[in-house]
Amino acid sequence: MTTSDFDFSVRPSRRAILGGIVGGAAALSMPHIARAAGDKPVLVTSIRSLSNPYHAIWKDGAEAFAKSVGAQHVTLVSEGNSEKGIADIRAMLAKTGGKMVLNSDPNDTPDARPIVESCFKAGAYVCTQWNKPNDLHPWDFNPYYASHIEFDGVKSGSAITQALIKAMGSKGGIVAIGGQISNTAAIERKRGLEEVLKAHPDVQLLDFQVANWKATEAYDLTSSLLTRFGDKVGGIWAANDDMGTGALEALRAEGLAGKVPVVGIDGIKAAMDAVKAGEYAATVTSDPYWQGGMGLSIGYHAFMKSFDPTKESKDHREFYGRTTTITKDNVADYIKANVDSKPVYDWNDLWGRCEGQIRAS
Amino acid sequence: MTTTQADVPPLHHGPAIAAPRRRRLHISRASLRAYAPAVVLLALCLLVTLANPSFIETRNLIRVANAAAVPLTLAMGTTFIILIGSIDLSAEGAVAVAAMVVVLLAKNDLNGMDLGWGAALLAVCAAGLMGLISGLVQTGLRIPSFMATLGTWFIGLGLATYMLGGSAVRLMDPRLRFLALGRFGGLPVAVWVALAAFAVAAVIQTQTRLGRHILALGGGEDLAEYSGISPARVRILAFTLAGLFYGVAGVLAATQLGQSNAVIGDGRLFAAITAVVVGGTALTGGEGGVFNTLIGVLIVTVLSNGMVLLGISPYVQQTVQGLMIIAAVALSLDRLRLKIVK
Amino acid sequence: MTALTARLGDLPFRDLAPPALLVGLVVLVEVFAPGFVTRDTLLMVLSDTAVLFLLATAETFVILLGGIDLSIQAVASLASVIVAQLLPVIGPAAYLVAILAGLLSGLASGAVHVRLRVPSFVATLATGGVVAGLARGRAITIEEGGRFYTSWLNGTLWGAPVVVILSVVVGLAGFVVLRYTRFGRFSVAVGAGEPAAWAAGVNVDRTKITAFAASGTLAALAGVVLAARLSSGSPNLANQLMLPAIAAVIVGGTAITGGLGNVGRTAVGALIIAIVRIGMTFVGVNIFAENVVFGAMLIAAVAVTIDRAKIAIIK
Repeated sequence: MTTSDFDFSVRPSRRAILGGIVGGAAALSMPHIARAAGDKPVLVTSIRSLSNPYHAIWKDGAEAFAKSVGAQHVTLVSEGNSEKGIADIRAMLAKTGGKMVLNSDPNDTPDARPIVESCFKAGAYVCTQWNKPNDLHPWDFNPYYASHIEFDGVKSGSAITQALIKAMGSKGGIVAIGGQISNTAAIERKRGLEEVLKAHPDVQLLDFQVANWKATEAYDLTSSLLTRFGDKVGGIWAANDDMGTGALEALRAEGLAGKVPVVGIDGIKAAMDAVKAGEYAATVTSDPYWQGGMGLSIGYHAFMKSFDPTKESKDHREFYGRTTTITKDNVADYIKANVDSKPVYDWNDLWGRCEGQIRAS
Repeated sequence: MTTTQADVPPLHHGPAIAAPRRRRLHISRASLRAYAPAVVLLALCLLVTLANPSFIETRNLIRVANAAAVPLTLAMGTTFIILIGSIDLSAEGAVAVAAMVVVLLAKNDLNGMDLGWGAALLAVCAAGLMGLISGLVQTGLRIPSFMATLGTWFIGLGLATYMLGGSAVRLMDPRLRFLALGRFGGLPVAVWVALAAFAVAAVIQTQTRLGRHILALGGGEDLAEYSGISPARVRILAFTLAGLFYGVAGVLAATQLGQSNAVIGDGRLFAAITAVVVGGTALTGGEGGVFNTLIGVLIVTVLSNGMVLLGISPYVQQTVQGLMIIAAVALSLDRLRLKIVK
Repeated sequence: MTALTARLGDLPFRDLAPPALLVGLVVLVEVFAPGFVTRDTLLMVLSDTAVLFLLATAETFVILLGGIDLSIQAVASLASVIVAQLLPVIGPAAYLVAILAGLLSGLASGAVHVRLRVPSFVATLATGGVVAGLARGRAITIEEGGRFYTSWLNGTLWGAPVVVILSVVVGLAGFVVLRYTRFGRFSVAVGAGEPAAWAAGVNVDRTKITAFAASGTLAALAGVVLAARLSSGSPNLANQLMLPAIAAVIVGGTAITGGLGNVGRTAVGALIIAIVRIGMTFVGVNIFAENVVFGAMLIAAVAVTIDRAKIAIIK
């Protein structure tokens, strides 16, 4: 059951399927109805770990999609170890003989290339999210590298900054807690912060420190920052909600929760609860439930030939997904629709959340 | 510090080979050397205060104490293991398990449990049980503590991830949150808990037979065995004890953050071992103790607090911290006693 | 259990326990997931083990002395950053610079440990922090031009992946150095008993510094291979590889207290770790149970492989 053996046995059947449903419109309107489960690819989700709420929801979305098409679903976790993440994907490729669809949130930017190359070699369809090198493009690996999805970090970073400044009454000092220094998302979100601050001379950035995405580090860091700047701290900007909620608890220990607004990104439940309680000014969510399902759906539909990746425009192959900013105004509705109940999405609406091609830089 | 060393001189049997060449490095007298870690701590505090006087404000000292609470409790457990000359890598797994148990059994936003203090007690017991298992596994199968505890680390982490279903569960019990949010005599309750843990550890080390046996085992296992001590029994007890301390630390961490996820222990293991060694306890065992660890934890905490107070760029913080730790250990290690440095 | 393992320890086939376990694990995976034992899959496992093996070999040199090197993942990451930065500028000489950087940081660790008499655990943890600080910055992609120089590392030679051949060469060299040179014998002597080695005239300090230098060099080599495999350098590239590397050394049967072990054992240990991990994916172990199974397998593996007859006190 080597990779190449399997390719020979699978490819003709796929071509036959293709023959059956020629024409994009026909394929989209009547996808994969009367097909045996054996023809379906194994759906594989590759994420960092299941110990953070973001990826746990991602997995829920992936399972919801897999259930909707009746395909087998497997989750792989890298546990922050790039080598493990890639080796696991290669093992799955070998096991399925390439008859799989991968939706991957690579552990680090560099991982995307070997992941995509392995899938390409094995003839498996792949969709990546968040991290990829700038010179790696889906159209260079036609048709297997179906799409890459990112969320505009500059935009999210500036959205929460604006909400924070508004909550502070447009004046005062901000302390910022960044993510891991080398991480692309961390760098972009910081850029968003800096851009908005330029337009607000009455707001000062007191200090920018990093807490490596972790609540525990942000907790200790915040109390040290409170000593250094004391009452000058008018607001806390965090590059993700884990750190934001950690900072919030440090504020609470000092009796400052609700007095010093906090913002973060990811839209984890604790952050949304804090928005509701008025302790958190805003959070931005990229909707991991959608990411987990849609990444698979794009690859799945490419595999089933219900659309042809090579014919899609570049802003469908490499795009920014839509994000939602959650503030006091919409938090109750958002929790009701996404937390208290599982959201219901049309997984066939592949490009509904495209917000343009990813910038070159 | 001096009392702990006075307990064991006859058991230290390494020939003094390395010592003579090093003597010129030590200007101070031997009796002063035992206080070297404390001197390093004072010098560090002085240095930070000179650069930013707000360090010495009561408000900040309380914050330093609060930041030291979890690491101190954790390091109490680590200290006993290192005193035997073993190593315990399971701390992060045990912290994750304890935090998971307390959050799932106390009032939370996932299930209907509401055991209050009982949840905290069970959480500490769960971590203690993990320690007991670590001890039983390594003595029963006769495998190195490094591997036994690496195994229990993964197992603990896996259990916590599984039970929490990947999500961060919030702790809603106000009685337990009081540990982090309440104050008594101006200090957060968590600090008092950590001090109590320290007091218990100090009593165990200096006043009990277990404490003496732990030091004896670290001084030389074969000799300890000849004098009638059962190494396996001491080892199992020590790992159980360490587990209980990790459990308290896990409960404190969960109450501080108001939630628990499986990575709540992340990064705490090496921080704890560093603190123990910076305090002057030898990784080869038999030298040092919980008093050293108290100083070591404070050195490490003041260092990270100081770097923020001094506004050191996050880009170089890791480098500065590495260099400072080398300096602290190089200055404070009592090398005349440690004939062999491994 | 104790009695049983003690009795097994007296038998002469004890040295064969680690390889036997390895074969047993492969068979186990094949039983649960038929199709595992094929040429392609096994070659894939071998090449996915290469980096872990190189790091574990680096660690073997230091553990044999009774020390530990916690800086290997920082050094490997630094090497990857150097390769990614310099490859477009100076071509393949970037490999040399990266490996040299590893040698230097190994020497630095050794010097801090030996001269300042800081325990290796803390000395290398701290030098690791310093090295990681040097490598700060975002991930650097090796662009098309630079990939010209890395593609050979990702290719195959005589049907075997180049990284596997490289690992075999490094493994053989390490084996020979530790078994047949004066340095190797001194290392074992220091690990077995430092005072005795000193009394016998072994230059303990020099032996230690050499071991740390070797460790740094090999860690950097692992970083170079990583950079080629991932076509980039990043300060986090080798994250989470240190503990598996140390585990590989111990699972192979090398004593963590020093004085017993060799690179051959490390190779078997690294393969055992890799088979357990990749095997879990192949068999389809529940993702939530993965860590629990891995932890239990580590304990079981070391219980089988450790040679109790030769280790007096197990700490």
